[in-house]
Amino acid sequence: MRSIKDLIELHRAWWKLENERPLLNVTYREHFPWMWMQSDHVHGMELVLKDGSLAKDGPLRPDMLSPEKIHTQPATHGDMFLPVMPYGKIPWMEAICGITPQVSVKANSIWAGFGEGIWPDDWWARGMEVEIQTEWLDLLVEMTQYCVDHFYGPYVVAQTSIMRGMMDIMAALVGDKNVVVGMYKHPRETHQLLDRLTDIAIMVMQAQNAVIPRFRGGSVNVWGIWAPGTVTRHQEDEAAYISPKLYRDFVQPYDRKLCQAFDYTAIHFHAAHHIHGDAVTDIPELGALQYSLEPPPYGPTLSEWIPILQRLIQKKPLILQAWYMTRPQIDRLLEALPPQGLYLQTYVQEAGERYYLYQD
Amino acid sequence: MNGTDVLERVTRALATIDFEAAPQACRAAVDAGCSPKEVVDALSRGMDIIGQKFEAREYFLSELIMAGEIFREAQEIIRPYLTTDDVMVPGKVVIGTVEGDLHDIGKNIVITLLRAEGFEVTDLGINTPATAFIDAVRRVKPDVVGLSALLRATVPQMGVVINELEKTGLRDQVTVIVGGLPLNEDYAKQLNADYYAKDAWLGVKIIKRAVGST
Repeated sequence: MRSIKDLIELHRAWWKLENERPLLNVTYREHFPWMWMQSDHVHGMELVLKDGSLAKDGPLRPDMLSPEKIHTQPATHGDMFLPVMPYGKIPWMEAICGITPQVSVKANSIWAGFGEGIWPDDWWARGMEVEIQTEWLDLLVEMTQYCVDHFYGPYVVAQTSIMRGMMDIMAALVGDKNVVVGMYKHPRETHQLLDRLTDIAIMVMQAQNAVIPRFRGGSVNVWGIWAPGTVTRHQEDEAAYISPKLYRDFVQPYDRKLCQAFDYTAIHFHAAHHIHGDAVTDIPELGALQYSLEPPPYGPTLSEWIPILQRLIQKKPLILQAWYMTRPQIDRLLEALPPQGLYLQTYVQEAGERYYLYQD
Repeated sequence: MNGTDVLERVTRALATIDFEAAPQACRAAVDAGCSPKEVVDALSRGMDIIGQKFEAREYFLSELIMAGEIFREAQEIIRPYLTTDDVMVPGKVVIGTVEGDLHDIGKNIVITLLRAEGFEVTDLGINTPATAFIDAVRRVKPDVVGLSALLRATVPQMGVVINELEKTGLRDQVTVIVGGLPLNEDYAKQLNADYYAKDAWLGVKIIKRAVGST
């Protein structure tokens, strides 16, 4: 169990900003220098044989292997565990809060509550209650249990990948415009609704955690990072269009409340959320901040990002995901940021290979 | 307080997103004898300040949304005082998020701001096929067609809509404006759009210019 143990120790140090090298999950076609830093190369292959011992250099025969033993190690990639999780395209939180999901085959998506919302404009005056749809909650727990029953062992199991945050759910209920109107004109009712939605989000996350077995005394989040306690991941996509002040006044308190309910939390932001980085990393109980580094014009350039990230990583571990980066861009990021608390996940491409490539 | 002062209050209340002071100022302006047009002009000056602050990144989309809402409420206050001559719709706009794309925040902000400015807007919603745009253009006869997308993968659908407008002989009857983060001026030209708007605020300015209301 050498490398799994080492991987867990690496992750344990990462949460505390004490890792000596960055966590990397870089997919490549050729051998680039950083691949030798990743755990699967640092530690080499770890193959459990039929007798429970680890394979050594030399020939391999069928009688040396058994299905039970070979799958006792959870799959990893780079520095990460490979988690299995309940189907992620369903907008679970919205469905549980009473917003019927809509399948759109052409859009390759299942969506809920876009634009106008399902509550009337004067929701704040009507004492509207969130009606929890237990069928959806039960189905989520059932799917989580299915993942545990069928995949736990060869894989670790994590919560479903997209857990919408409180502002996202509120927008699905009342509509995008009425979230802002509520923050300005009906702050008391807006706070009450966000608080209620926070309680529901915590309940849903706890329900999933209750059926996921502890793995080496902890759990693994959707990015494959182990932590010595409970983990969660949620997102606040809708926060992309509110001011930093509105985020601090109306969203941060509930992101914090959710973070207080679990041991190792992470919030997912897109590049457009760079304006909220300081506020979210001010949450003492936040475990880590994840940024999807969509390239410009979706967010800052790499040159603009670097000082922001240098500031934020002093406070919290950062999970940085870029769809594609070139080798010089990866080198630049790794040189600019300290390894402590850094996790980079990307696919290596050469300039001109992909249209969705980071630009400076 | 003279008319100039009360109109200045209207402008300032909107520019500072003071949703309580804005309707009071509008009522005070009407009571002071200001014409509905003067009040609307004062509101428009407030919107110009909002736009400048948005471009300077002092304001965010949330403030644009709220300003549009205040403008709409102010119009409700002065509506009873409008005469037939005062009521002028600057133009008609058909707008939607193209097929395959479900994102609509940008589009909705444009709609809020356009309606605040008095435009007649037909919102086709999200994931809108080209045929729905064609049907709406035939039915509404708009001055402007607005196409919105957030995903790079769905931007080509804008070209599909514009091609359909060409094929059906409707292209020359409308101004087409495209908006969305993956776009730029060059891409908009490739799509054969008339205009590209990099954000909601600019989109409204371009539409106003296109219909000759500024």
